[in-house]
Formats: sequence, structure tokens, C-alpha cells
Amino acid sequence: METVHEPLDGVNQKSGVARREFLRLGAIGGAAVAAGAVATTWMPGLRQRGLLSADGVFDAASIAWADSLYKEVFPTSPLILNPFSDALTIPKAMIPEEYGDWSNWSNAPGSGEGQQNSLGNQKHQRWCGEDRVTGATTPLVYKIQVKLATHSFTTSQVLPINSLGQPTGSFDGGRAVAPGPRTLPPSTIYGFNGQFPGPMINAQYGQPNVVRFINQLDDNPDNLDRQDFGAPDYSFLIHLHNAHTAPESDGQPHYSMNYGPKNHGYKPGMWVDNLYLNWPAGNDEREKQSFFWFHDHRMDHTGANVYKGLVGLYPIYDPIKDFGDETNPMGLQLPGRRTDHDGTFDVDYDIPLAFFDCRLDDGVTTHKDMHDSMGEFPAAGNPRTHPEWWGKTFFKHFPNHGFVGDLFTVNGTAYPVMEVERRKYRFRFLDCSVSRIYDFKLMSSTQGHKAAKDLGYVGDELQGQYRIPDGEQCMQFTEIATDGGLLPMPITRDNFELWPAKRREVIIDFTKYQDGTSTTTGDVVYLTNVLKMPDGRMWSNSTRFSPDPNYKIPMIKFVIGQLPEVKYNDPEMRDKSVIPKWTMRELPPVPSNWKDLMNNRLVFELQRGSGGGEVEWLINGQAFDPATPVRSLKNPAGKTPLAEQKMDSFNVWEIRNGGGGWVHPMHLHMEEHRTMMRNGKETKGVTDKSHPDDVSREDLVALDPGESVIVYRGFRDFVGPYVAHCHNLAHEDHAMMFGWSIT
Amino acid sequence: MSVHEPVTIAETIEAPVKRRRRRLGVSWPTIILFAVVISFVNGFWVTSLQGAVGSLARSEPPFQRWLRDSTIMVAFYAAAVLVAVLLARRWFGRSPRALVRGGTAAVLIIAACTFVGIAEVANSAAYDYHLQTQHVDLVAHLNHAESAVQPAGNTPAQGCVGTCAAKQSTRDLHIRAVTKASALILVTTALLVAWLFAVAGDRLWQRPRTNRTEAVEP
Repeated sequence: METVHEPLDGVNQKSGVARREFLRLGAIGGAAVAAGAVATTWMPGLRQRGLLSADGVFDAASIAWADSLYKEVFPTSPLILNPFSDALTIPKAMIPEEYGDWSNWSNAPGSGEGQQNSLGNQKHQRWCGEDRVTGATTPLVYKIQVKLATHSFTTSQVLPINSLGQPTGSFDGGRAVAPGPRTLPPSTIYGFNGQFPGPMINAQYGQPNVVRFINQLDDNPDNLDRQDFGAPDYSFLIHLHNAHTAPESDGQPHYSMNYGPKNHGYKPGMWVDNLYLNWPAGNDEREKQSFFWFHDHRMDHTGANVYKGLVGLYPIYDPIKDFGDETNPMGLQLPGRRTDHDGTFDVDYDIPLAFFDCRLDDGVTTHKDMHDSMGEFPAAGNPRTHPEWWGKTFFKHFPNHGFVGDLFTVNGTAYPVMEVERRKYRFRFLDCSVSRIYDFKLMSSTQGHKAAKDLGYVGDELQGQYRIPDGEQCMQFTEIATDGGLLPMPITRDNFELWPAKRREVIIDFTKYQDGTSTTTGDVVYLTNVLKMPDGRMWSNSTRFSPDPNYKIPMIKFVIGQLPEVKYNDPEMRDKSVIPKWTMRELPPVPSNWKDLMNNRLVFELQRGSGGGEVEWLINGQAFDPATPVRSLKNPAGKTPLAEQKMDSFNVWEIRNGGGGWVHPMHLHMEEHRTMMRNGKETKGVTDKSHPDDVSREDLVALDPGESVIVYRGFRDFVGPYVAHCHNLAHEDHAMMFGWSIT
Repeated sequence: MSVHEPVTIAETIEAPVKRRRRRLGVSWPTIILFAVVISFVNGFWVTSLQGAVGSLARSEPPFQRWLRDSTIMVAFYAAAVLVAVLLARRWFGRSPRALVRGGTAAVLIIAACTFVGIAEVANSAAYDYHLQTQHVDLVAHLNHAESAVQPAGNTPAQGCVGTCAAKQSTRDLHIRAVTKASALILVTTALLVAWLFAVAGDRLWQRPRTNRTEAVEP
């Protein structure tokens, strides 16, 4: 007996072979065409998102699954009807306590055992003037109460709108209100001294500061509704980002879990003295920085606490080169006129700008969050809607797609206006948003700003509320500093990106446009965001990747006024600032044999863990463990060392973005680093088109999808535990953090 | 009569296994081809879904997981294809209409492979749910070690809250995920089977014959 293949379609031999072959070839050809079409259609997008790899294809599919399965509806904030009518808030320097007062406190700051906090169980590792610390031996002391308050983002009337941009109803204390313009209720905040942004401390190298943070968050005399975000036990930890600070003053969650409060943070009634020595790493002048900010760092609730308002500003001046006085030729003469008073000083024409995006509750969006279900906010009764919170800040702790706001604010005000004089200004940019990345340009517009809804935009395209459809770049920035302080040389920029927690300092010359023509009084220039970021993952459009010519969101309206000497009728008030054409700050040297460290480098990979639970973000496959330093991935020497460094040593770290279609602003506490290689290519001090700031010192590694960065960094002056984490705060709060230590 | 040259069974080999294969009268390479293609494509959905909603405890590079799990699942899919082919042949193998014979085999293969695919995704989801509820309990235990301060005047919500709500939310998510994945697996399997029939459907089974004249006419 023999067997034959019996064709299931039963074609006959004569005509069937041809038919069968036709079918077979057609199927194979069709599959090839389909594969080609898929490759052509999807590959560019995968490449742009860093997903063009074997694992990346799965990540992309997982993202698509997540998009279809997780129902994440965010409210549409009411439209601010009169943008650019509230003046930009320009913070004034906080005044320190009188020495005669604080030195007589019963629990005065000091170097003794138990003097670092109200628990009496910690001391400062190094006190002012001790051992290697230079500078004044007596600190300035600031007292900041962390307390409940309210904050209004605008004084304008608002129009409640839905995601289609159509007018919709609103609520007053839970009672329905018909569609139409109305006032916006203030939001409940946790604020440093009850304000948002918090106080600005103008610091100076050589003059240490003690900041006493006192937790008064349990005090609620006005019975404010705390809503459903913010640390549920009202605890805080405050981190001065990124000062050269000992662990006990650095507000680090694992330090807090193991020492001091031995808890997630300092609870109501407690205080902690954070000592900021204002002293450069290694006592090296080249390590001086210029703009810090302080913010909450409470484990698992940093994002919520920062979003609730725990943000403060801390410009730091250098008495040798950069002391805030353009009239003094001993310094760099960067824009700024200094006025000393009350133990501190203010600097005119030197303005911090804190960028913060938020969403306001529409009363009809269901609050649903893993944190609610973990019993953290039982009073909220989630999942449910909260019409009684209409117009107040809305937050989601554990967003699958990340969290971005649709209302953009600067220094606590939505769409502010600033009248500037016809001269140069120094602006210190800070992104204190949870996840949003900005890309700024200076634009002029003939027609001015238009509401996005009036231009026909809906859904995510409403983010930012306003656009300048005919906006054209009209000026350039002169970038002078980054996270790590003054650049070696100024960089002229058409635009620059600002990632969460990053700082950029620029000079804007309001006397002339980039084509050389002079400005005139009454001219308007918009600081404009051109990076579209519909969710917390990454941009969909930016200057670097497929810019959207229609996405031009005005953030600040600058109205150009008179020349200062005319305005004040005083020739001495003329602009005496300069844009340096010489070295501003030399970079600390990197030894020529730094590559000898490469074999034994520490390797950290940022990964997206599988969803469904509390922990979703990982580093080296591990969630944050406050009990122990993380272990490096296998390095070229084949070792997986613990993340421990000897004091006063230097090493090379590799930070990788493990994919998943996200970008990560990875923040390394304690000392600035130098980017030595990006994606396997040496930077060698050459400006990278995508990352021009790689030439500077930074405390935050900007990782595009799939990128890998090699940094060189030091570990000087202090011992103890530190952390490194993603500064997308939704990631940080969900375990994308690791502990490391200096021994 | 259509007669294709045999490609799988060597007539001269008399080993018991070969005799058994001959008794089954199927083309093993073709069945394996079906099983491999369907397993690896459906495995892509299962792996990527796990990446979206699965447990952290099972986190590993997805490509590696896909290769491993899909390889394991080839055996199950091969069994499903085999059963479907044998049933189709038993029920409609003598049918004079090729469309009936081929169509029945295709439908049965789709049904059997979809069943295997859904079983795979459901099993994966059940294991994820098991791990995730363990994690929820652990986190709740850690959180309860902390004394949460609640604002004055607030009372805890009643009903399914806390770990109950977390588990319910996780379960609902997996149910939604398995439902969507099942539909996708059905559609994918149908498309793949159609394509595989076009490519190699004529080689799927072998039929014993004693002489050429007994071969079935189309």
C-alpha cells in the first residue's frame, strides 16, 4: 500500500496544479507585501520611539494593549477666558531669622548630637566651617512651615468646557451650575509657608543656610478639603535638588526609613533642620552651581506632594564671579541688579520661572486610583466623581499613560503677562511638573493668542488651552547655565527643551529681534512651548522629532516697555549687563585615563515592569528597596557590584533606558556628572544636536527611548546613603529609584 | 484524480512509529508548520498582553519569553491541529466536495487552535492574578503598619474598598484583557489558517490508497 497526499481542495492534476501553485504563490506574495507594508508603516514610528528592537516590538504591542484596556479619563480644565491678564509673580527673597532670635530657641540649630531634628536622634555630618568645609561658621537660619493653604491659578473668569471644547455645566460645592462663565475656586495646596511656589531663598556660596522645615500639615483651621492626593499620613521629606548635601539633610526616602524619623517622612509636629553648606564639591570652584530648587521627596508620594504645591526656589550666587550685580566689573556682569537687605538680597532682572502643569476637576470624571483602593484615601469613597471638587486640582497617582496637565502655569499663575524693560534679563527656568517636558521658543504673533477650542481643536489638542497660530520665532536665547551651573561658554539657542526637574538659565535681550531690528515699546513676545506631549510617556511632536507647526502654546506674554534709563529717568539704570564672550566657568577636569574605569563601571537600566499592581517601574529589574543599595547589571568585567562608592573617589556609571516607549529624566543625587558617552559615542565636549547640554555638568540624565549614557562623577565629602531615580514623579513614586551609598 | 508525490512517509521503513504515522495518515511536517506558525503568532499576543497587564513577578525580556513559551506551546497546537484534521477526515474525508473537506478541516483547526490560544492566555492571566493579589495583600500589610492620619469629620467608605477593591479591579482588568485577547486570537488564527491552507493545505493529510483508481476525484 502506498500513501499519497490528498489535496483538501481536491483540484485536479491538470488545471489544479496551476491553481494550487497560484494560490500558494499568491499567499506567499501577499504575506511578503503585508510584511513590507507593516515594516514601512510601523518601523519609522518604532525607531523614533526607541522601540526598533526584538523586545521593543513587544513593548509597542504592550503599550497598545494598555491603551485599549486601561480606561484613563482625565478631566478637561475650564478655559481661562482672559489669559495674559494676571502679572507674572516675581518672587522676593525670603528673609532669614535674626541671629539673636534663633540662637535663643530652646532647640536652636547646631552641630551637636540630636540637634538635626525634633526626634533628637540625628546630628549633622559636617557643620559649618568644620574639617574641610570652608565659608562662614555661622549659618543663616530660615524657618519654613509646611502647611495647608489655598492657591488660585488665575483671577480671570473661566468657561467650563468638555473634551470637545464645548461649554458645559459646572458645580458649586457639589450643586450643578448651568454652562457659562464663572469664577474658579482656589485649590487646596500643601505649601512652604502656605504659598505656591514656595519661598525663594537667595543663597550664596560661602554662606551656609539651615532651613528648618516644620510639619504643620495636620493643622486645618479652615476645614479645607484635602481631596484624594498628598501623603496620607501628612508626612514630608524635603530635598534641595541637587545640592552637595549630607544624607541627613538631603530628604532621601531610604535614609528616612532607616534613620531619623524611621518612617516615610517627618510627620505633623516634627521638624528637621536641613543644612545646606553652600560649598562646592571637593571645595572646587569649578563645581559651583547656580540654581537649585527644593521639593518634597516623601517615598511613594513625591509626585502627589509636589503637585500639591511643595516646591521652593533656591538660586545660589557665587561671590567671586556671579553675585548678581551687573554693575560690578569684577564679576561676569550677567543681568541683575542686587539690593542687599534684611540679611539677604534681591536681584532685579534675574527671574526664576517655575513651570507647572495641572488639571482642574470637571466634577464628572471618575476618580479611580490604585492608591484609593489601597485604603489611603477612604474618605474620598473612590471610585466616584467629585462634583464638590469642581475647579480644584485633579491628580492621579498611578497613571498607566503618565500624568500631564492641560493647564500650563508659570510661578503659580496660568498664562501670566510680564512687562519687561528694553534690556537684557536673566531667566532661570525650572520644570517642576510631574511629567511634562517643554520645548521653548520666543515668538511674535500678529493675530495674538487664540483659544484652541475656537480653532477647532478637541481632546488632547486642547492641552495648553491657547495657541498662536501665526507665531514665528523672533528672538533667540543665550543659554548660560544648566543644572550644574554656569556653562563654560554661552550657547545661542533657537529653542531648548526643559525636562522635569531640569534647570536652564538663559539671557533674553529684549532690545532687538534675531534679525537685528530693534524692538519698540509695546511689542509683544510670547514664550512658547512647541513640544506636544499628550500623555506622560513622551512627546508626540517636538523640534527634534517631527515638529507640529500648529502646536505653539503661549506660556508667558512679554510686553516690551521702555529703556530702563528712560523709565527711571536715570542714566545709571541703563543695561550694564553683558553676554560673556569668554569662559564663564571652567569644567572640572576629567582624567585622560577615565576609560580605565569603563570595565568596572556600574550599569543601571531603567525598565518598565509589568502592570497590574502598585509597582510598575524598575531599575535593574528591581523595585526600590530602601533597605539596601542596588546591584549593578553585569559590567564588561563580568561583575555585578553593589552600588557603593568610596568617599572622595570617582567612577563611571552607565544609565540605560530599557525601552517601553518612555523617556526618563534620571536624577542622580549628590554630585553633578559629566556625560562622557551617549549611545556609545564619545561626547568629547562637542555639542550633540539632540543633547547640546551634554557639554555641561548636570544632575539629570535625559534619556530618549533606547538611549544609553555613560557619565563620570565624583563622590566627595560625605558618607552615607543616597538615591538616584527617575524624575518623572509618577515613575519615582512607583519604584523607579535605587539606593546607593558612599562609604 | 490528483496525485501528489509523498513527501513525508518512506514506504520502505517498517518501524512501529512509522507504521503508526502511516496509520494516522497525516503529514507531520505540515502539521508542525501549522502549529509553529499559529503558536508563535498567538504567542506574540499572549506575551505582549502579559507585558501590559501581567504581574511584575513574571517580568523578563519579552522576546525571550515569547521564544520559550511559544516553543512550549507548539506541542499543544500540534495536538490541536492533529485532532482537528483527524476529525475532519473521519467526518468528511470521503466527501466528494473538496470545499466541504477543506472547509471542515479549516474550521476545526481554527476552533481547536483558538481554544488552545484562549486557554493559554486565560492560564497566564490566572497566574498573573494570583501573583498580583499576593502583591496587593503584601502592600496592604505594609501600609497598615503605618498609621494613616485622616482628616477630621471623614468616615471610611463602606463596601468593597482597600484590598477588596484592588483585587476586584485587577480581576476586572484581566477579564477585559482575556476577552479582547480571545477575540484577537480567534481572528488571527482564522487568518493564519486561511493563509496556511493556501500555502500548504493540500499537504495537510495523507490518505491510504490501494491503487490509483481509488483516489478521490474532486
